[in-house]
Amino acid sequence: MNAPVDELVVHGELCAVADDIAQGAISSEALTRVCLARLERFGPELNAIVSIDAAAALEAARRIDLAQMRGEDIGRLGGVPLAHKDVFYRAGRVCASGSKIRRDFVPGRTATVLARLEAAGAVNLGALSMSEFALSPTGYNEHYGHGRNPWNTAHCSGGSSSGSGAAVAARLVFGSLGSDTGGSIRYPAAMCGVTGLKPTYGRVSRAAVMPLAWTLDCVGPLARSARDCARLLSVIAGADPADGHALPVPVPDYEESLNGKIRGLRIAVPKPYYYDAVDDQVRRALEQSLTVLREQGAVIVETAAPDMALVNAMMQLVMSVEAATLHRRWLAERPQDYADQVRARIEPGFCYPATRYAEALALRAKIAQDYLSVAMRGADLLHLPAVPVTVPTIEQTSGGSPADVARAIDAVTHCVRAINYLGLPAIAVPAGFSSNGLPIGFQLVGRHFDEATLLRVADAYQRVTDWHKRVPPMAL
Amino acid sequence: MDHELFAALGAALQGLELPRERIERAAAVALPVNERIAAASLQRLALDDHPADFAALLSRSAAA
Repeated sequence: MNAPVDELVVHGELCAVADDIAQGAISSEALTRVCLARLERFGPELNAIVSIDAAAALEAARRIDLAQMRGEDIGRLGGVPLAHKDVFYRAGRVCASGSKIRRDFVPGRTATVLARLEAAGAVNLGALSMSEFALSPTGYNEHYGHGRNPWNTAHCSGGSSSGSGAAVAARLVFGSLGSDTGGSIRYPAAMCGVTGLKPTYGRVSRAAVMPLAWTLDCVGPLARSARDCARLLSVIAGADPADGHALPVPVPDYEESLNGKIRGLRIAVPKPYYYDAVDDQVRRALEQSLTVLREQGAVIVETAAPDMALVNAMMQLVMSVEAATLHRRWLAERPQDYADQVRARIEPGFCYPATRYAEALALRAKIAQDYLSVAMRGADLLHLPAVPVTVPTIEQTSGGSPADVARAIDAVTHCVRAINYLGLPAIAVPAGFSSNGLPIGFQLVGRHFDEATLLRVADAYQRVTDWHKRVPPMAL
Repeated sequence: MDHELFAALGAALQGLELPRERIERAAAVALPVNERIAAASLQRLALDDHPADFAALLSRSAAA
């Protein structure tokens, strides 16, 4: 063993640890025990845990260790401890999706992505917290407690994959799957200081995942580095007969694209709209990240943005109409079981004529093409703020008048939410800290199905920076 | 047009009886969105052709 196991859990990365297990340098059981102990120790303070199944996890870890000792192929994630947002169904296990309404819901099937991770040898430790029905960008949850940021627990973790962001940042697990309908992977990644990838719409199956808005929902990884996200995406991506929206597009080995070479790549930076309300500290971190990329040979070009008010309107309409459609029965029968903030995001969906929804979908391809031609303008990818303001406190996003809360949420979501309507892949990457010690991140956005370029650029950045390696003091 | 009336009607048609303040709040969100998309649709949707298909755009992108 090269280092004590607890040091590996705090400072190691998923790919390296998986390779160590495969070579017999460390046991999955030892790693799993440390992660379980950390979940128990730190998870409650962060409101990060829904349920942990220690016995099943240890049994799976021991199985992997035995297979390794017998010389069998243990898979690309063999023995690596993971835990996931409580939005993924597992047959026979309660999946509440952060809600009171589904507190006792026991699905009869298992999410395709969980099955794929386990087929690759991952050890599943349990389910992590989330916003009610995936409907908050801050981690707000009235029923089970708001997500808390491991860098300062008075601040938001980001949501709706709040437990995933907090657990990866606090080094409780090596990676976690989240879901992203309007930014729910990228907010917690940016706000907790980890790497989070929302794939192209149609890249990853959503079968047996609690839906929020079926034409926007995406599943993707949060992990400690772009390389770790690459491995997780390679395992979960691809067509699935159980989800007709998961397209039969060949899945590359994303790790193979991580060669550190970005010389000549053109990175577009659309300043109008995206920099309209950027906090000065965030702006400095963004500029420093662009300097790093430029020094590595990337060509930075300033571009414009199309009518983002329109794109945001489309996104708002599609999300709320589809959510209202899904939640109609429960809203009629059990309205008191929703948090007021959550109902307020769904109910506008009842206020649109059918023609408006049809228009939003009919214009989607055209608006996506317009966006690419104006914002990307021939470049290979976009560099944007992730969260353009410093990470707010929980009080700032849950107290005050509904208008105050709406303004705070609008500021957080300014640069992220439209990407889901456009169906584009995006990755949030740690890029520094504000003066109060909370993480800052940037966002890279690629062309449809070009996750490989996003991962390559993020990985190249992380080869020469260490923001993604910083560990919250509370977790040391 | 009275958007609050429309919002109340929309909710009622879905079997929901929302109190007035919730109708007002939902309508306040929906009104600007409605207007924005209605205007864009008038400008951008061709009347003489089928709209471009988003799934086809994704497939073309994947093949490129």
